[in-house]
Amino acid sequence: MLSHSQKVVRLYRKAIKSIRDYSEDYDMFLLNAGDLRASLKAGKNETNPFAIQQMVKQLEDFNSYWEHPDPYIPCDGINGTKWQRNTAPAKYAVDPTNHLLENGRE
Amino acid sequence: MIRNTFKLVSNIAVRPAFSSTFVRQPIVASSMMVRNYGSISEKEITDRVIGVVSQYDKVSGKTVTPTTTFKELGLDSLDSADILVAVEEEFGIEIPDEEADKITSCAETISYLRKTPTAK
Repeated sequence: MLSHSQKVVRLYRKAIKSIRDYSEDYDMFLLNAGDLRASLKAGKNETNPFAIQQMVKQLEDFNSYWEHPDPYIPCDGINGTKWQRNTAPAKYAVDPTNHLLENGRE
Repeated sequence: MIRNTFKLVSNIAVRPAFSSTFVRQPIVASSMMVRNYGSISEKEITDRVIGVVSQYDKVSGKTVTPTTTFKELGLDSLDSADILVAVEEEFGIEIPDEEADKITSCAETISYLRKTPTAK
């Protein structure tokens, strides 16, 4: 069972990496990462458990929406290119209509 | 005919013998030609980790040592997550979430990187 702090930090790490994967240059990354940090900081002093739960849900939705179909992976990490003989095509290339971005979610 | 044969023999006889100066020295492979499959030294890991931590905005102007904890630098858990993501990019690895939760100081970061053989 994860504590609240652990859960939020893990979601934050995942969100930061998603922003990095989508950012073509560092300035864009800094801009969006700053926005993410500001939105997390806005809920710092919240004490209502239902509001807190809703904020965590929003962060999870953000993560699921912005999960990159072809993220940066270290070549010798899990699913890295070092272990692949015939690299699998990206999820987006296989089934573009099934990606969240194509479903027009706001 | 006999004269030509004699010439060949005399040519062979006066051929100079090889001396030690003609012995070819073995080519010493420089370190740039050899790909390093070993692990990074602890000193290099320490220097690079301190460099990454020092470049963080909230750490500017403060002294970072190998034994500094993130709390001493005034960083909260989100700042630690930021620094660990930067360390991952610096060394070309991915730190699992279970390990990232335990890292709260430069020393723990350095010890984790020493245990990671794939760090570049």
